[in-house]
Amino acid sequence: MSDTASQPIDTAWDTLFSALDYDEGNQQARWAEEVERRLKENGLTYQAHTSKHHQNRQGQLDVVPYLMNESTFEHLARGLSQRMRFFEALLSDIYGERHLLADGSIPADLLFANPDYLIEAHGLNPQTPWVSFLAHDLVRDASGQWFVLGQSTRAPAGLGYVLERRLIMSRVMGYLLRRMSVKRLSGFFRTLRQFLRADSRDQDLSILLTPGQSVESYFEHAFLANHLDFTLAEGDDLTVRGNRLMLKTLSGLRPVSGVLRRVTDQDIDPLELNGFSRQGTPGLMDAVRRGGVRMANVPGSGVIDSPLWMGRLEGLCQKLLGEDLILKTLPALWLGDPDEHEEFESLWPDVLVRHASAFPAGESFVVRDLPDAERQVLKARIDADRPSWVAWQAIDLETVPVAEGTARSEAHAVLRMYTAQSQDQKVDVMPGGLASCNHDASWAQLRPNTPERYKDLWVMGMEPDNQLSMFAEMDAPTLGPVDQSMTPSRVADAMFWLGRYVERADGLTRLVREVLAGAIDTRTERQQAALWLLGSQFRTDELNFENAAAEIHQLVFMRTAAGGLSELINAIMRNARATPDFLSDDAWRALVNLEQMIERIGWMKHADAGRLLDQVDAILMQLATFSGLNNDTMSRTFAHRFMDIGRHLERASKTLMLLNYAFQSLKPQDINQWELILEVTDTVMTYRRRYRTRLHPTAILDLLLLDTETPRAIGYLAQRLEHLVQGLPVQQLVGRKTQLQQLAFRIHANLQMSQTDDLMTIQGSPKKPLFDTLDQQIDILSSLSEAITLAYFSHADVPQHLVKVS
Amino acid sequence: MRYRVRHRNRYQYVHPVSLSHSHATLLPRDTLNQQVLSARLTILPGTDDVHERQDLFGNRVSRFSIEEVHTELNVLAESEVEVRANRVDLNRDLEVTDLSGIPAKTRLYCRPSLYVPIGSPEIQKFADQCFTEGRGLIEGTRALNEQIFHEFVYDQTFSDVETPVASVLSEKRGVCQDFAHLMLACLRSKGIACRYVSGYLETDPPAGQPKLMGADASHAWVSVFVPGTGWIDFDPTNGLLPSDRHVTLAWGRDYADVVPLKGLMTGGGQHTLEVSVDVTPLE
Repeated sequence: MSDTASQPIDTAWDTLFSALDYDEGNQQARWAEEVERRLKENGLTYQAHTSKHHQNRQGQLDVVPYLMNESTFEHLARGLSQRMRFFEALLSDIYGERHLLADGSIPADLLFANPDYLIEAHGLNPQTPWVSFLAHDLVRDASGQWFVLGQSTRAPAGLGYVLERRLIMSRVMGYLLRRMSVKRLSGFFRTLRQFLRADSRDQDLSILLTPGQSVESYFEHAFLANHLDFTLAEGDDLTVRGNRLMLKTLSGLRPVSGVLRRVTDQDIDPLELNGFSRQGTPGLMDAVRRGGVRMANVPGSGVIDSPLWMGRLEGLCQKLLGEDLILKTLPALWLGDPDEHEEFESLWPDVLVRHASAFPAGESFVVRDLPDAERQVLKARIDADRPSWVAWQAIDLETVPVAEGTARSEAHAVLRMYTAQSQDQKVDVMPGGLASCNHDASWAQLRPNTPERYKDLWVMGMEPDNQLSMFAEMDAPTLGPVDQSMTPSRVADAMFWLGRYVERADGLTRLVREVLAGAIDTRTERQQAALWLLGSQFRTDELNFENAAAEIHQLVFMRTAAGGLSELINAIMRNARATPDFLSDDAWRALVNLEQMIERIGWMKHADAGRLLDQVDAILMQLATFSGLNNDTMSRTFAHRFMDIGRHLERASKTLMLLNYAFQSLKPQDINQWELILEVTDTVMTYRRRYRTRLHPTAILDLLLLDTETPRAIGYLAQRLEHLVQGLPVQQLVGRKTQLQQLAFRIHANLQMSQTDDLMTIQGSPKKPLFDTLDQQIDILSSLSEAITLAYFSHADVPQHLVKVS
Repeated sequence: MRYRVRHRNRYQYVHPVSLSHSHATLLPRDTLNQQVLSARLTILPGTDDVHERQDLFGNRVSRFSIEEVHTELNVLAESEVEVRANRVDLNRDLEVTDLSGIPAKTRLYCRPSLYVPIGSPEIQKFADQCFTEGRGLIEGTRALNEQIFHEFVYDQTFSDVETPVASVLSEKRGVCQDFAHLMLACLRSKGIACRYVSGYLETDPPAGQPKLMGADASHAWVSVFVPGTGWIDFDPTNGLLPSDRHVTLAWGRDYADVVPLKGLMTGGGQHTLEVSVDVTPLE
């Protein structure tokens, strides 16, 4: 079938090229730059989301899209829909009656060599389609014939990237998309969402199950969950009760009716499946089996992902549906068959070879490119287990234009297209997708997942779509109140600690700034004060003032310093990553910058105090930026409230400990030290304005302990804490909530009953009740922290194996 | 022979367990020469969330969860079974290279599995010693069965569940489970379909007969598929062919498919396990 038959694809290319070529090709270069800039911006956010730094984020995005007209799309859509039907029939037989196995249509060794064949799925008989979402990789050869390279049930791998890239393209060249009537993607996402939402009970949740922040695609999961309005959850956020799956939330256990799964089949249930995996939930496989939860895709469906099927699908489709496959699979040889193996031998070394496991794609080889020794190793591996390998001859792929500066060159493309299937088996094909491009045709068809660059796939409709705008790709918002108590306990836990660690980092940075400044002061009394201040945090009795900068660096900034800044930023990032969709993009950028700054100062071990101070100031500003952004842009959710509680709690306990340290160790005349207290608590100006006297311990206590208007004073913090705790979600555990409120109230009330006269002599010396009060307040704060953990985070407990098996 | 089997598992935890999920393969199945007359599972603390299904291998798998806070879990499996001696013609042997008669579904048992890797030269070599030139499938398997029995030391201190067959082979010691896995690895490296059988032995032998190794706990042995004849059991731990003193519980590719009792719990901390098995003849 040809493109030009029904629609003028050439005209479309003309329109595109004339826009790109405007201003002698500079338009193309400018757009390419703009696309790259936006990708890079997102890229920063990306990297921050994963705990490992994945250097090469999914290749760059080509400014030249892949153009497809409606009639080609419809042809492909028919073919892909047929394949969805076919795979349903195939999976039902594999895990059901097993006719195809018995009659030899599926060679036994082909099925049993497949690492994704899940014997536990046998007899599963799901009430949903086996495959609700499927990604296909398609190629067109030089003569225009379409072939399918493979399919992936690890649904919907890459879907988040499709969205992200389309958003970028439409921001950069939106008018062109409009003019060329490029079809929108939102309809497809609606189908996706409806699948898991269908006939679910009102209170039920749909979740996106992710392996968590250790995987490269974590950001994509967060992005997609957000877009679909699903709760992003990890295995440990869930628990199985009876035949139902439950999310552990702030308000207790909430039933989950739909799971969009990004955890592989083997990893969803450590009880029944891979016991070594930490990504799943015990009992989940059985909950699916008993129909208590709908899962997309059904465990076991991953068996179709393997390349082993490549040469067999045509015959199986005939057998099952009595139809020819509309879209042929690239013909490949399965080496478990003696005849096919013989043919493979005759083609060697002009073959591409792939191992049975769909992932990692690393187990794939362009034999001709291998040195002799490696060819022999590969040959030996194949001979040791022939049923686990397939091979084919590289086909000649079509070329597509790719941008090079102001001009264009050519590359080979593989299309990734997506299909979704509803409960009643109605198939929807996304009018879009990604094209991965590679200059080498062999690599393009062997490893489509690691291309040199990507293209946005534009399917052009007959009618212009005038709704296309920046937000056109987004779905209609969900209106009405959102039930915040659905926040997973783990997220609330992470937000609480994020708040605490950010505050701790702020406190430490302020303190070290004063220590550094004091240590390089020429006056001995200043130096002694700095040493005294340092002693409040670190066990250190002396400091070589000649070499103060280096010693302080080692204590605080060195990457390996215990209790140093590096440890804190790691804790900050770890907790931030556990809450990806609760922080704004700007807040993420601030965090990434902060991480980089702290890394930089970690290396500055030979820097003088002046340079360290500059960097410390920059870090403080960045911390302030992060906090400011959160106050300004973060919606006032429970998650935010937990972060706020964390910050206030941390700040209050740090101030109390500092006061305790000061009043235990200082005399009224230690003016330099008292001044530092005001410096680190950022209250110098307030003090001057309020007391207009020289420094006096009694006045300092009055300000830092009892004042209710100064943000770093305990009086103020206690008030805020009481307010914040009162607004926490009502627990089923009513008793605990009361206990929380009592604790928060006591902190506040204790202070209201205290008077400076009772705590201090008029000369500025502490009385015993001062220390009692300080100790008591510190105790209550730590009880409060424990009580919050017990009431809200404790069911974030993770299950453990019976190690000893009988 | 008719037997009563009592298999008791008792877990004790240091800290309370608030939720536990378990998966048990503790109820015996029917086989060609074994009939299960009755079988039941008793779980303490009691729970309503118990159900049973048949897995791909036809084993009886029980799933249960306990939501009540507990510090001790007792699972007792009791059954009565009737076992007849398997009468197969051991003289109808065939060449090891002629395994074309293995049905498609049975070929699953030719593949490597979690505890049964194939392809190692050491295992290949060990297998070759038994399957010498001219020896048939049954004859070779019998030789392998006896070689493991004679050369290997039954040593309960040597191995645990995770000990690889390579170490069992190099150290020449282990327990029934290790010997079964090693034997499977040898057989599968020859392309032979064979499975892991878990079960029990009669606890106290009839007068005049020696007590068999592995009688005080669950036992494990191997079953080999002989095209045209069917499955034949071999017990490498005792160097014999099981007759009516072996009670079959379940079978699979290896131990991982038939773990008697596995579980995951929230809380608990350290735990201890006591297992006792009693197999008594009823007549």
